Amino acid sequence: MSEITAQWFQLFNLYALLGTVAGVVVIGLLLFNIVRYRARDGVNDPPDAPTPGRIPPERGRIGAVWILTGLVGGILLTLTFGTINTVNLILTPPRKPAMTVEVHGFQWGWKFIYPNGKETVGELRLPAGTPVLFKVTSDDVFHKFHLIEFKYGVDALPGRFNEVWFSTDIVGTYTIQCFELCGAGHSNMKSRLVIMHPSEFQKWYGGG
Amino acid sequence: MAEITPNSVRYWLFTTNHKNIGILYLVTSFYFLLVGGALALLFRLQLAMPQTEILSASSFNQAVTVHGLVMVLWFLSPLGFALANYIVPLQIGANDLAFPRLNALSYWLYLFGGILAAIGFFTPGGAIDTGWTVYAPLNTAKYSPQVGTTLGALGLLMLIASVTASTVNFLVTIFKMRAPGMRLMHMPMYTWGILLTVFLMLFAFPALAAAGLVLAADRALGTLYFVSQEGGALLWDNLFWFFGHPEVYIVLLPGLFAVAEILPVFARRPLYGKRVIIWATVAASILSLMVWGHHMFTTGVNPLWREVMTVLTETISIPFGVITISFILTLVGASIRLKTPMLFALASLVHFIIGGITGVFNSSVALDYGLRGTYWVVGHFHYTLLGGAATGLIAGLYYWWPKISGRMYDERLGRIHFILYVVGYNLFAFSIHLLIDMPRRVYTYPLESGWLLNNMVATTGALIFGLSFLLLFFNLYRSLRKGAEAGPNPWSSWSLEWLTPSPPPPENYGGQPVVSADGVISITPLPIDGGRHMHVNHLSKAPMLVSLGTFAVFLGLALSMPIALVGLAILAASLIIWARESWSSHHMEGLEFEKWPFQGVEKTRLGVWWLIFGEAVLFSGLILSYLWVRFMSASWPAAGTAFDLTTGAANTFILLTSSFTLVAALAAARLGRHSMVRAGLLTTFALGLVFLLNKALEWAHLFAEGHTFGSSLPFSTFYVTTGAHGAHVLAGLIVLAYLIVRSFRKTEGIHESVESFGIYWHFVDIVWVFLFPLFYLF
Repeated sequence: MSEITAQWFQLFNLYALLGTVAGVVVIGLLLFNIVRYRARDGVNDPPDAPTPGRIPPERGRIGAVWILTGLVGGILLTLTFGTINTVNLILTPPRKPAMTVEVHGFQWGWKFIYPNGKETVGELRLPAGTPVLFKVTSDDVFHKFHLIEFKYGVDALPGRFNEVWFSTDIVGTYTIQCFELCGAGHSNMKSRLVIMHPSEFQKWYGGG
Repeated sequence: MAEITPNSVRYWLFTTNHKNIGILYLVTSFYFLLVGGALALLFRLQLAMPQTEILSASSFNQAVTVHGLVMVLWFLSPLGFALANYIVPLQIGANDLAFPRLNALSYWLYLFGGILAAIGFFTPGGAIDTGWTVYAPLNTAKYSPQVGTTLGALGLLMLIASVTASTVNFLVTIFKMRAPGMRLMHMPMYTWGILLTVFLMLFAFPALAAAGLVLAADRALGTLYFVSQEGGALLWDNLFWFFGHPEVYIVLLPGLFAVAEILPVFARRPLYGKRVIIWATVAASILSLMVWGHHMFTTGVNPLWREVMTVLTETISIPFGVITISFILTLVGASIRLKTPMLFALASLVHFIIGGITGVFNSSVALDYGLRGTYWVVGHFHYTLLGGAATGLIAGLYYWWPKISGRMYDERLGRIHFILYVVGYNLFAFSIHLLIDMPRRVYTYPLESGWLLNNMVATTGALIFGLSFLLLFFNLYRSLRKGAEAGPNPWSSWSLEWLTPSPPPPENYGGQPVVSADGVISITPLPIDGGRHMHVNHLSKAPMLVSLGTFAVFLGLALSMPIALVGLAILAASLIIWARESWSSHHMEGLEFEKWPFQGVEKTRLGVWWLIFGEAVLFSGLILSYLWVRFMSASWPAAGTAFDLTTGAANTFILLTSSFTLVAALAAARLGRHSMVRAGLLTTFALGLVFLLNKALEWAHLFAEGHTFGSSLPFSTFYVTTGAHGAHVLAGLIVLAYLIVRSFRKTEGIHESVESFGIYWHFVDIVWVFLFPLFYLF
């Protein structure tokens, strides 16, 4: 896992926790009321039941709004704080990225250009434990450069370079896939992300 | 045309009665549900297992695109407006909408627009395949060359015209035709929902119109907005989502307010916090116009703007939370009857809560890095729009069906439908919600991805859900055959539509509904039988023919010119029919309708004002697109070099003068000096014509110099922006020609017509006052 992904999950779990609690309470309240106040035999309509041809009296106080706004506002404040915190972490690399890789989306594949001019298509090799800066762009239509296992990605737009940094310590092979509909080849617009030991990476990179 | 009866085809082609139009909308929206639903089941089968080949990649893209467009724009919203057409005039005690022919026009434009968009399946290369968001530059001819995509864009333009006409119609109806004594706060919730919906439409759809016009120009004329990197992806994103986010609420509000209508009836208690719910919805609607950026979090836009958008988006959950809690509080102390409409209304509420909560996740910039483009997002908006909005409207359909048909549906079948619907729906929507890693709109996926189980369950659920609709159709069909008589008010509801027989007579009420100061609604018998009966069943050929003509013109533009010429002929003929029909609405004497806050404004004039509002948004969209492209461009021709300043200045002078001559014509009309009116109108017409001729010469000159639509961005933007303005001048001249003919024949009421037209004409002049400096001076 990468630091960004860890942060992402931490925030996601915060949202999921608060969201589940809110959902269970609200839906629970609704279901409770439905069961509690079901029409039963021998029980008359409430006295203020709607009468044909008469505009019902208004009821319901605005006080409920303030209580609720306070509650929901508190939850949202927490979430917003968490979001801004996480965004800053996602946007700011812990140290200066060691390498900048240009990522070009095209119909239908990914091309990667390394600082020394080395170009690969369909496979991105990176050293483990080293922050890398991606400059993501597109050569034709709107794509989204997305690292599935890391829950992380950014749009690839023609004429613009979107910068994001990335790093992971775990050696292995992962999937890069396009996450924005880009034409007939969209479903197979994938590349492999290969994270290598730094020494092995250097051997491959230098030898290119 | 007295011999035409409700059993004839011609009656249904030419009807303008709001209840008939409502039924037409209802049938048509369910037809589009079948289209969109069949496509959905096709690609759900394709996705049920990895590496299936039921659909090819390109047919899959067409299927998801048309599914999205049809479901949002041709099924959900129109279903809401089917009920609105039928119910809103009844709920406010009116005998029809303010402009019945315009209402018929809305319907036919909607139908033909949908056919135009879907007909692409039968053209070479297939239908539009860009996704329902139609992202640039995939939407340009370079990347989506097939004619189907152009047809999709043109179908969208017809739909926008339909929506704009409806918007104006409902705004004028609700503001001018409420029963005497009925204040805005007295209105039933469904009418409130429609009022708030059309307000949002007034802002949102013109932005889509700007985007659609520019896209059509790019595809048909070869202009460069979306092909170029200066315009391109981000320009479309901004225009589309400025429409797209409010559109979500446009689709949602009718369903949500149908729930608000149904809950108190079956809970037997008045709605809790009606006023609060309405104001909360107003707040959410205003916010919805300011959050379009949350669809663009990962495009690399300004970080501060993104955080503002995050906070604004999260704020929206406060008003919606208030609405949800008010709904729940309505049930406290109630005596709840779980009839089919109530069951669907409650299910809608539960789905809406789930969709609302998962929506908060999407509002977070940070989470969006991982969630954008995944099935999580698909799950979220299916919970709000299908689970929330559509379920609410199905509840509304069951609720109002006895009113519309006069018959009861079968309660047991309704409950079986409910169970299958809810089980199928949640199997489908919850399992795609869990596919947090799976990209949207892939036509296949590998087995190793681990997405098989959720997809399999989703497809199973979707099949159960889709087939459950057969029960609905069977139930409704059966009720027409042998359903029990419903009587006027089977649910003991309070609102006005239940005070008249089911189905209501053509004129809606046997008299005039009046609301007394203490809230009692009574039907005052008519003083003389007549007035109200005069136009309620008025038949008109024009709306259907105008739409057919427009359809043929657009089809011809995309396919072959002869069809367009035939269309143009139909269009011209039908406009003449429209103008020649005698069409006057009759008011009852002695009763003052509720018109707050527009007491002093005449009906047509109010309609024109609302139209102008939409036009202003449209031109803002076009002008902002121009400015966007210009500021994104590295170089631009120096001020005054590209376009001839003398021509522009002359045209400015001509157009401004024509405003003065029109004012003079109006002054003469007020004084009853009819020869002066004619002179004024003729001069205005001549000046408008000179403006257009001058413009034609200017364009011809530019073309001769090699500056075509697609030669460079400065010229693309010039032709599209001033061309759209020129089209407005041309439309103005057509109406003016009608007024001139009329001024020679019938002078009665001409000053009102001149005044209404004047609003439009002055607006068109003001737009030019903006365009002239932008293109010629700077």
